[in-house]
Amino acid sequence: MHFLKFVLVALLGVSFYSHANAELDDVVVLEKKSGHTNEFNISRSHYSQKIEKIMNSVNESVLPALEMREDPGSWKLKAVLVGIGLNVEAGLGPIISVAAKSRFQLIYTKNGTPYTP
Amino acid sequence: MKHLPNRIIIFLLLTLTVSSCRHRAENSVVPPEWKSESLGEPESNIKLEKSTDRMFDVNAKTLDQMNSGSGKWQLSGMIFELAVSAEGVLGLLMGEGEAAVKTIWLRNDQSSESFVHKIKPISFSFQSKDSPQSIEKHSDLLMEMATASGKVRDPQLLKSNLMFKFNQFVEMGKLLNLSELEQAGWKISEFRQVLSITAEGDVTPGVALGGFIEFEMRWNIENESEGTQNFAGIFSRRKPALDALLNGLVSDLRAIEDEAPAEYEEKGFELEGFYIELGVKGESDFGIASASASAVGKLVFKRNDEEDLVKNKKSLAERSLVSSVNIVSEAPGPVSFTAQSSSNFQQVSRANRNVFRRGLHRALKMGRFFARRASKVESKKWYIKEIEPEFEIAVNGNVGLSTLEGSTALALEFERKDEEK
Repeated sequence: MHFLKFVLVALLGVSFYSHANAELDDVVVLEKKSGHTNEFNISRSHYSQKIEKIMNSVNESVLPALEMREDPGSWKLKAVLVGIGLNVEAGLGPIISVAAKSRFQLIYTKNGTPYTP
Repeated sequence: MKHLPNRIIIFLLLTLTVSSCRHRAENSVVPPEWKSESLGEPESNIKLEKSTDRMFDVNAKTLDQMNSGSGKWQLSGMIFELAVSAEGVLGLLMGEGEAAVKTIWLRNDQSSESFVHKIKPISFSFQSKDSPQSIEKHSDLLMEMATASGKVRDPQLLKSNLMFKFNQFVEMGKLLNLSELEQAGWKISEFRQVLSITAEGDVTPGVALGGFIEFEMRWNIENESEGTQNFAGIFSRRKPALDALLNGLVSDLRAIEDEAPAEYEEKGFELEGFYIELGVKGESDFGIASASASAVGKLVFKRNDEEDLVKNKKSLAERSLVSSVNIVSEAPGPVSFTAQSSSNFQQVSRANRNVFRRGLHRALKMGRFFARRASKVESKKWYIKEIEPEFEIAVNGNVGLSTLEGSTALALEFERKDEEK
């Protein structure tokens, strides 16, 4: 019985702490899915860690390929744009995951010509 | 503790949990006066400030932790998009089939001007000298890609719709090249249209639900008449109406700038450009496309600070300015997005020019709000290079922050600091 009380009081404390910090911690993420938008509150630390991890992983796979390539002829690869799809998976707490498809765009220009969008 | 009954603890626990959920749901709601339905002043709002700061800051801090390459290639830019939900909550936008975050890698010998984010994965540039054959080549390329995807159900319809859209776009580009715009303070620099191909073979303006190939057409405005002889009949009907709209818009921008110059700038940021979605109904009824309308393209206005043009402020545009602005919106009733018939389901309203100018002023205030928040972001390696708030226009001409569900309300573009490159 004492243990149950202890658990309830602990939960009360956690809930109070969570309430007090909700506004400071959460990042609002809107996910477009099947024609409507779902809203999620994701903790700042989870958002930050997940985005950093996903971006580093995508970037680490892009960089070696870019470093290794040589451009023969008069055309040179000047810029690469990588679009990364992200999903939100709802569960006990929403988490961010990388979507199956990412998009790449390669920009070539003639050697010596700066790229102007 | 002995005297504290379990029921009270459980009650308090539930109350706080429910309160916490409600608190979160109410957090960061865009105030009503920021929407196009309200004519009130969009004043700064403490909740919106906090949530905007949080989203700007969390992304800046996350970028600081990231590996940005070395050697020949560097991660130079990152773009995040924010949107407003149906409940009015501002948040980071993610979605199926959409890139939630865009990363830009540049060669180390490229300047920071080489930002490429505004280009869609498939982009076609047209010029006034483009022949029908070269236009057909563009459509053949898209047809190949669409057919390879195995999702096209009606290739003949797709081919016909593509050619219609390409030709319509080229025709508009040529018309814009001929426009007699008095370029004092502002100029039109570009005309763009994003289209989406659907499995049914439709080619729809903007990003369509279920669209599987998205591409962009671009036209650089050069004010030249080359290659326009074959369009004389269409131009003679459409040109005066388009000239009146464009001159009116430039005049509106100048009037707002004169009345409220402070709204154009914020520490570290200044207004560089402005674009509108151009709508058309029938042969010659041009207007600004409202959020619900099918636009023929996006018209990009840029500042034009050349001295001799700025001097010429009291222009023909102001002397002949009409008291209303055309707004093209979706007509009531059933809607079809088939390329050829979309303009038949639209209507043109005459909005009061003063309401529209007040709407522009509201947009500048809202833009300045985001610029102010962006100027406060602190990051070791990155800075916010550009913010692009998007607005929607009501049928009465009023302007508000874009609340169309799933559409971008604000694009946030980070660039690596020079010393980190």
